[in-house]
Amino acid sequence: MSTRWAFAVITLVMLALAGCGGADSAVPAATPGSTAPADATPTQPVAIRFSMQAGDAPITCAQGAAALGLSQNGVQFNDLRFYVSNVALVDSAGAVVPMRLEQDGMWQSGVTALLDFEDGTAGCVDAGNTEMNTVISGTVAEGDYTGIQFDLGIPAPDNHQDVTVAPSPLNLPALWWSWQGGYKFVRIDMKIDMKTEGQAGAPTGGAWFVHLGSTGCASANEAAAPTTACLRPNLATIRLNGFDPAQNTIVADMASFLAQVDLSQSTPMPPGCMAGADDPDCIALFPAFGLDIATGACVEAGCPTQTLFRVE
Amino acid sequence: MRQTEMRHSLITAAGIALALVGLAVVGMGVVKVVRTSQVDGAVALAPSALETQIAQAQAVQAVQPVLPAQSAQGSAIALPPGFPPLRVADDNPPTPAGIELGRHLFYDVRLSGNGTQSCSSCHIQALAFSDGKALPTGSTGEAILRNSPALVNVGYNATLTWANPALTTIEQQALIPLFAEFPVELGATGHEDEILARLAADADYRARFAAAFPNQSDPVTWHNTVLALASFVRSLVSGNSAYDRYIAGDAGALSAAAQRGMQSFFGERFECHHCHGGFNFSASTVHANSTFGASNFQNNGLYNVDGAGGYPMGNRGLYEITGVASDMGRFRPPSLRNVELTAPYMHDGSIATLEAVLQHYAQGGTVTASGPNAGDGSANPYKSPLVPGFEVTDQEAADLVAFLKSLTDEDFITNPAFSNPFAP
Repeated sequence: MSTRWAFAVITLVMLALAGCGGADSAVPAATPGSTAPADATPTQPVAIRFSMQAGDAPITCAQGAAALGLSQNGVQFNDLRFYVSNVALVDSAGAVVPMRLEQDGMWQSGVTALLDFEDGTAGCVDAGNTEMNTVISGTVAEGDYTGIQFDLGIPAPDNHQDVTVAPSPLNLPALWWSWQGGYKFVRIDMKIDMKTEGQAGAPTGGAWFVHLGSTGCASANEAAAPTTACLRPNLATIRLNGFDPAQNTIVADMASFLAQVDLSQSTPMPPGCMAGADDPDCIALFPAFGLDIATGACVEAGCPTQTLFRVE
Repeated sequence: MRQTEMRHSLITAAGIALALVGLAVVGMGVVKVVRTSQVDGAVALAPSALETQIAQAQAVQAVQPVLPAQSAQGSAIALPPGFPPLRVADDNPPTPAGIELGRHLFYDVRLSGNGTQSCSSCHIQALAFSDGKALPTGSTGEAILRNSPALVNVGYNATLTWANPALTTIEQQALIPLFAEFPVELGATGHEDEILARLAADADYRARFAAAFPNQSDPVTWHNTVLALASFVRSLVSGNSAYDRYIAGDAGALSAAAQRGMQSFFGERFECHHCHGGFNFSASTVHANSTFGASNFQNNGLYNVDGAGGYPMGNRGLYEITGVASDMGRFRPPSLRNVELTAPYMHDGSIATLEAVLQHYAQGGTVTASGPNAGDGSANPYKSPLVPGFEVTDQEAADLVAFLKSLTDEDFITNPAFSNPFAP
């Protein structure tokens, strides 16, 4: 493991040094429809900090949660990653001002960034890796900002490409279904501590997955990208007020997110919710994204009914 | 080509410039690299090597990722459409002369201590460079504990062998079948000078080494032998199956059954693609544009010998390296390209057919009824949560097998460039 860790460090050093060389040399070719916003002047640097917690307690691959969901089960986390795109700050007048992401060749590409709270240890060895990222960084036009808006996921034009040649961080097979289905916007893999042995309807092996992505994406086959929009984009636009990037952190809270879901139960195939519109596990979970499971759009603009994110 | 007790030994042979990445298990679960190669740029961590890697990373970054490896790396290895550029060690760029030398060495029994086996003894082209046996036998008759893996697109493997996170290049891996003593494979240890003398006595080899490694006064070395072998194995690229033709637009390339099987394979009911996805049908895949670690080891519920998740001694997977309990039974998911040809399956060759492999996954693991390995693998506590078991109809199973057989690449197994140069 240490060689891999060392290599990761070298990679990061290489990328950091490469980034010093030429201003925009590392900017990958943008995909149509997802180009970063044009330079606005003057700008200020901005860093958006994220945290994943269960209530007030941080969660990691090694540090699970004591009691989550309707039946208050203990949970271990085997994956903790999600994509965020089209980040914008909202000023006191209500204007939505796009943030320009630093093109770092690793965590941010075009308008999309990956937040990664797993380190490949403990239960995360199945799909994870050592690298982690908890901050989105870039620039925004100077202003007085009081809120933030972002999409939870990847814009459709970037969502159906070949993971093996896509720019980082869209190059992770563990976060990709297929050309047809696109990426897993959210991957939260859980292992549920079943309080009652042999409980009817319990998830097999305690596995409970949360894989959010677009569904109803029609194409010739799984290895072909859709030529029309997916029936249910499932791209939640999250709007949070009272957010000052210098002071606040955006918390993805598993306690509030899973509050209305009974983790001691799961219909099989798949265990948990993999975004299926007719999966009872998803029907129970989708309101927490603020999404209408039938349409794949926000129940109301700004997905105000979501319970995943809050400002702290 | 297998992982063995080799990792605990040091190579001391005169004339060997390469040193194995030795592993020492320090305490519980801490793996420490105690020695890295001084000459292999892929693992050397010296500042000068770092600078070289930075320069190369910048060079690669300037190239569009869709360009084939030839332009990105000056590689002599042609890649199929859609394949990303190979990650290649800094000091071993593939060249036609190096690959051709490696082909000769790969097929040459003079490379074994007693002159009875070559790499090709256990890696047969017609079988996608597997050997059709559950477990092979080394050159001195010793039993090998692990199935001879197919050599298909292994240049893309995040790690080499069945379960060793430290073996990240073919150059490192090639030392194992050559020099391993516990058990002996090719048995070169103790015959190092003798084997080099055999090669150096052959005018054809002298010319081939000189062509592959120009400007060296004495190019017939173990280091160059390993580099050439690695280049040949890296050149074993397969990407022209019926499946490839289908996704390239030839709708008639797949039967209706294979097309149905493909939908199932990539679907969420059977979960196949989580471990066997991507262009190489393996989650353990890296290439020149990779940015994240991609090593991948999974416990698929094959054994449970003690009811506590144990695997048979000597075949306990990643646990053998790390000593971490939860690494018990974790093995690298291999590429499924040409899987039709690589039976029997699993790290120990214990499952005979593709149909039986599907049955294994449908049951969520294998129950061994009796004998020393008896136990219910499906109840292994370290099993991947993506192997919960599923219901599958006979039709669906037949469709999945039809799809897996569509990954067979006839060009790969008949390509003269990969064939035995000593064949009459």
